[in-house]
Amino acid sequence: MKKVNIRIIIDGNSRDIDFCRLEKTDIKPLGNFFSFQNDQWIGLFNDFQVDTFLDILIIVRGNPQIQSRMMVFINDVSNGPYSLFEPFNRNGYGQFNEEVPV
Amino acid sequence: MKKILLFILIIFCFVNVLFSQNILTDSKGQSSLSLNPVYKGTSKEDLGTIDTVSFNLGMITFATATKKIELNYYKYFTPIKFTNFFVGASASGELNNSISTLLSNGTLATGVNATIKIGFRLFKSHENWYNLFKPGMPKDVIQNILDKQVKPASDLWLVMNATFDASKFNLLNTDSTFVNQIEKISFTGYDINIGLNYWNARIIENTFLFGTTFGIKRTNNFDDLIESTKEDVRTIKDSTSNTVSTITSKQTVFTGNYKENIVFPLNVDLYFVPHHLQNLGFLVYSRTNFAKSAMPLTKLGFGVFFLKNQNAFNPLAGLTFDYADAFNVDNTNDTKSNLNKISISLTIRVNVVNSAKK
Repeated sequence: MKKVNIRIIIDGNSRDIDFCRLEKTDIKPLGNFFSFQNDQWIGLFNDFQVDTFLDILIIVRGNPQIQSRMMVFINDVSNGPYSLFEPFNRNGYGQFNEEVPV
Repeated sequence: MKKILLFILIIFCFVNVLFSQNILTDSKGQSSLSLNPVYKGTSKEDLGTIDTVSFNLGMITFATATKKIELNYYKYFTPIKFTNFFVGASASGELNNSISTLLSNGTLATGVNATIKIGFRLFKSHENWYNLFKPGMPKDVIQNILDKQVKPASDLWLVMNATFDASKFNLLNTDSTFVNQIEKISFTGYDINIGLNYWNARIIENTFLFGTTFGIKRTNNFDDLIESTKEDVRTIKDSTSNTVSTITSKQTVFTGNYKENIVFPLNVDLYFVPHHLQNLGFLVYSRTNFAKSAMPLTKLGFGVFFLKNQNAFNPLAGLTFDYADAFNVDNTNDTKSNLNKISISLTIRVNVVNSAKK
């Protein structure tokens, strides 16, 4: 296990972030970690403990049938972009579900 | 085929062509919808350079129909101890002349406009995500939950808009004495309103964006005036050489029964994107102006919008049809035919400048 600085960037096609789980930790309240800047969601997590992979599950909302993308920076090393597992569904939800190498 | 070509020709001959940022509007550019913010397609490069961006210049839009240039700014806030809110601002300058008089003489009828939009989220649909997702769940199981076990996402916003505009032009009154025929008009108007915006991902297989606002507006009937060119000809005769010179000066003037008044506008917009149609959105709207001394005037409209990648908030172009004074309460326009009450507007989104300043 090691401590890393994580920066998650999600494009503005996601209207809001509803749920975030990193490793086995449910991130709440989301407003403490995510902000919306320059048409993108930015999540900052400093000194976060991870193993060889960072498990990410983020539920976002947006207009049905469109895609959204995410970049993950671990100690400033970029990973991605990752797309939603499926475009926003008919209920307006989509999931980013990735294992990001550390 | 000939009919189609004729239709296209008519459309391009008679419609207003607007290039604009938020194109979910009526033919005058009005809307009660504030939830479709400045859209910017995000590329991989954009995602990677976010930490160096300190200011988003937004977009500059140029509308050929109104000869208008506009600068927009939008910022969305996610405070920890308060609800999410956004602030948008735009400023624009415009020429009120027609292209032909603009080219034939240099007299400008100018206008400036500034708008501020603020929105506060009142409600957001919630699910108990922490109970729904167990650690280690496969992606397809989670997707199945999102597809079948949750309600459509929705949110409700309180929106406030304030617009201030000023314009200058020459009004020609032919009934006045010759020296007093031209009156320089300086008009300052405002439009302040408050209302609600509601977004829902799915109502009967449509994505819905509903907006309504009510407020106060100081306006004039500049659009009803007729633009003309006034030519003054002076003749000078030189008695010694017996030469006659004529000096012609041209001036852009506007004629008609000019009025300024205060109205209380009620704007309603219903925009929906059917899930089963590809890249098509529809807008139904009404604009009702209540006034103290007159019956309320209502304009009804309908628009078809063409989207990119089914993105409801990113229409590329739209065609709107307005029908003014739908309930025929204004007797002054009874001489006009029903055809004159219809206006058609083609709006096209452009992104002239979308830069970030380091």
